[in-house]
Amino acid sequence: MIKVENITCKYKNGTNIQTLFEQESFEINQKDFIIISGPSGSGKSSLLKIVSGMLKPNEGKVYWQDKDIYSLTNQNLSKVRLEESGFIYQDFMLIDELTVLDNIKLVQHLSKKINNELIEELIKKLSLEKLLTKYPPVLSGGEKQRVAIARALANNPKVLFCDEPTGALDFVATKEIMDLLQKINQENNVTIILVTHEQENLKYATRIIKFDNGKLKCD
Amino acid sequence: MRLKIVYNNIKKYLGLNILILIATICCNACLIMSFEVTDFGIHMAQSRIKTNYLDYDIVVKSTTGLSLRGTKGDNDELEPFYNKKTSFYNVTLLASTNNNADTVNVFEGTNESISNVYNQISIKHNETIITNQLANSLGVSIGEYINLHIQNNLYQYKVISIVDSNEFTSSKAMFIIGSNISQSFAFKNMYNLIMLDVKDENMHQVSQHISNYYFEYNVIDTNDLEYIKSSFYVNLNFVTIIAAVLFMAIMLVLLSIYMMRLKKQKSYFDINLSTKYFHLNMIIQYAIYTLISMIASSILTSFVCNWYLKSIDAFELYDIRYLSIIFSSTIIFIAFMFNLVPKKNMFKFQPKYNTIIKLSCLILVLVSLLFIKNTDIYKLLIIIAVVLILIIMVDLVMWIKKYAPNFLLKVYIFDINKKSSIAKVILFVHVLTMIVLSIVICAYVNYDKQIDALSELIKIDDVVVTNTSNSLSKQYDQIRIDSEVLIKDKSLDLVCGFNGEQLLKYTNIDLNEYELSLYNSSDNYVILPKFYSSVCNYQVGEEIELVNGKKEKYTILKIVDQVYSTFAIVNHSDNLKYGYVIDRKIDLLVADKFSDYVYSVVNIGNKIERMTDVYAKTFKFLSSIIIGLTILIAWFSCYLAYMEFYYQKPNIDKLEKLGMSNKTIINLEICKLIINVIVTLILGGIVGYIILSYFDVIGDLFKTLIFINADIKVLGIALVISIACQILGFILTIYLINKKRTIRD
Repeated sequence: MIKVENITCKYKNGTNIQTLFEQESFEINQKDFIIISGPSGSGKSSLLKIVSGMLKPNEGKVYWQDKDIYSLTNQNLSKVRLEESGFIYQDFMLIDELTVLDNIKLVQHLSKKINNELIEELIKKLSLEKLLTKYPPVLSGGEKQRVAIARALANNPKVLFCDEPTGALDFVATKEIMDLLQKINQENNVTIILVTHEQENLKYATRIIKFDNGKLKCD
Repeated sequence: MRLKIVYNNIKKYLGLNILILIATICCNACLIMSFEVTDFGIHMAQSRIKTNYLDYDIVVKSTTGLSLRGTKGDNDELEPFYNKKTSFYNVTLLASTNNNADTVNVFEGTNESISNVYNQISIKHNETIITNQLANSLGVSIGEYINLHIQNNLYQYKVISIVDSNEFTSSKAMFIIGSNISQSFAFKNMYNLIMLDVKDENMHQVSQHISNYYFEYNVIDTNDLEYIKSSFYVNLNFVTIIAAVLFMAIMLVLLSIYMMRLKKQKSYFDINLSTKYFHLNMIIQYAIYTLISMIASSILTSFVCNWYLKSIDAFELYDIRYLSIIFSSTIIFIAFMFNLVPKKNMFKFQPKYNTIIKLSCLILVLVSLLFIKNTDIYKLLIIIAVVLILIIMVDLVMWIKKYAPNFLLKVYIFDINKKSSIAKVILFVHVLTMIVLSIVICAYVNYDKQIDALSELIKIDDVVVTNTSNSLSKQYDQIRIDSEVLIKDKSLDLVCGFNGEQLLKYTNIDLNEYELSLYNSSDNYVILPKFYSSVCNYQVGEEIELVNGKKEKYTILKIVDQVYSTFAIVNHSDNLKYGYVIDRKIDLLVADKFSDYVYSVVNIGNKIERMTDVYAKTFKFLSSIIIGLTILIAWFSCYLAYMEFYYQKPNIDKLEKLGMSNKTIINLEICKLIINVIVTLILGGIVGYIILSYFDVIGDLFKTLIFINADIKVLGIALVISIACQILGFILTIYLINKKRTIRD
């Protein structure tokens, strides 16, 4: 489904250029629950950004269903990302000025594919009924992440990219969110690529990509 | 240590700090100018008067340009008062060559008098010095001859020098020596233009003393504050205060951004240093900036004022008062300190309470307007009411944006802006820009119209001045013309005396039967332009005093709405009452018919031209300030767009991460631009039109000769400029969006 070919990621640190990883390749299949783990600063989030089309690698190519996503125009890349993927972030990325319902509806309006039934279903599934008219700043961390998941699923994506989705949550909320993601993976056949540094989350993975001294180790 | 931190902060945000400093300097300079502008204006007017009269202290000048009556004797009585004297017989006569003829301002004096005007030039009896305008008009060059028609004689003069005209000579002038004019007009030793450099420091007493000898003459004390003030019309306070407020707004906005960025670093708070420590550092920085702005703005103000004074060939330059500099710098420092006040607590109002407060203020202002009329407070209240109405209307527009038909558009133009006032401020600035620009442009357009209207109102080109009534003159209308007459503390450039019939014949002033019967009565009546009713608050029926050598009381019969110039029309039933007769001339050859009696030819068109010229110089200065303001508004529009982008940036980033494309963002920006343009058009157009149509107070604010009428075309031009400013902001936003995207890629 997703093919990563010989990617290299470098960044500037003052006058020095540092390499996060070099010439790495791997493949991701449909229904995979992949967890990318490793110590802080190892390049987990950069890898997720490259795979999700948000950061162009210094070298190499990323294919989504045989399409080289970085050869697309900005507009087409945005369209592909909108239609085929969903995103969940550690800091939720909710727009504070919009209500919970508007936040969820937002991605459907961006892709111009309005599906109210799907939104109702997601609200029910994620138990958001009582939160719809509220604004994000008054929600708890767990509630915010549930809203973010609902928003990520509102376009019926094939793949879900999650960047430390439980990083800002306590133990109970972390378990709740991870269970939810597992359920989505199994019931909705959604591929999940999740970045985490928390070891206890690794049990949810079907495959693990580990960073080891600048090298990727895929199970 | 503190200074090092302050230095590091400035270094880190150098660009922003430079902008803050520029805004602070400009604000301080505008404040100093607003405090100094009255004094500067007086200084400016004094320079012009001094230039007009070659830096002499006292000028004794006939009110008609020519009059022998009203003096008690020859000029010997002036002897005790002066160190230096320059005297001329000054008349306007007909000059001709074989091919051309024109009226010319002739100065007959001695070689000493002429060398006082033009150094190192001396002439013989049949020689003349002429100005280049006269040379061009008559088509003569050095060595050629000019014929001068004096009474019934023709005198020939050889041109030996062509000089630039100055304020004193006016445009077409010639200088001669000898006694052709004085003998022809029987002037004897009584010059009709005498300029004195007075010995005594008590100029006022001297001028009073001289006045006793010259009844039909103006005795001008060029140091007399009241006289100087009468020549200074334009109130620049309004413009400079607006500029100061605008710069202060920019300065405070930039400071807020700077503070916000410093606080975001959290470096102070993370190492457990108190807010007090942070504020103390800021105060040090503010003090440094105040000091720099104090020095720089003093230099800037001095430069601007003296640049203008030099441009009008002023004799002295202007020194800014220390008190103004200290006072304006104190205001700047207080404004800086205001930035440290926790505003969240100060303005913690719910939106609905905010609207209630604004509405209550508006109602209070509108009710107050019912009870106060024609005072300065009334004018101020009208401005406050207009601003409040605009603020409330902008609030209303923001509320309407909530109901945008497209969800994304609603999110982009309303939701992500609703916690910030920037979108409102941008809209308000654009609407206000359009209104202010439409007023300014209207003023300019109407200014030209005023001059035309004056020519239209008084339909006379030239008049022949004779020394007495005669049988021939009965074939012609006899009218009265005076200049430099004082009304209250303002001077009138032109006073025309007509009887009832002449009023209908030579003017476009429309009087009803009752008004005409009053005008034809033996009582003194005067018709004034709008300028004097606005500036002096004169009403029809009120009795005023005209000072033309002696004081005379007149009742105001009518106020002419069409023009805003410094003229008056008075009724006169007895032509000889004033000691001279002026006959309307159909063409210059009429002068020949009165050859025994002709004193002078007065060109009314020239008088109007001279009025235009004087005002044009002041307007040049005003226009450079207005151009500066327009550039400032354009820059401010760009900066507001920049600020709005950075305020929205976190939300735009979120939208982008969710998959919103660059194209969609640009499309939404275009929609936002279109909405803002439409709102500017509707709000600015309607409010601008209402202000220009119904409030004379706007003309009063400028205290100029301008009467402002609404003009749709002018509103269109203002709208185009306002849209141009918005487009500039839009281009900057698009650039920032693309730049941001480039970095991410």
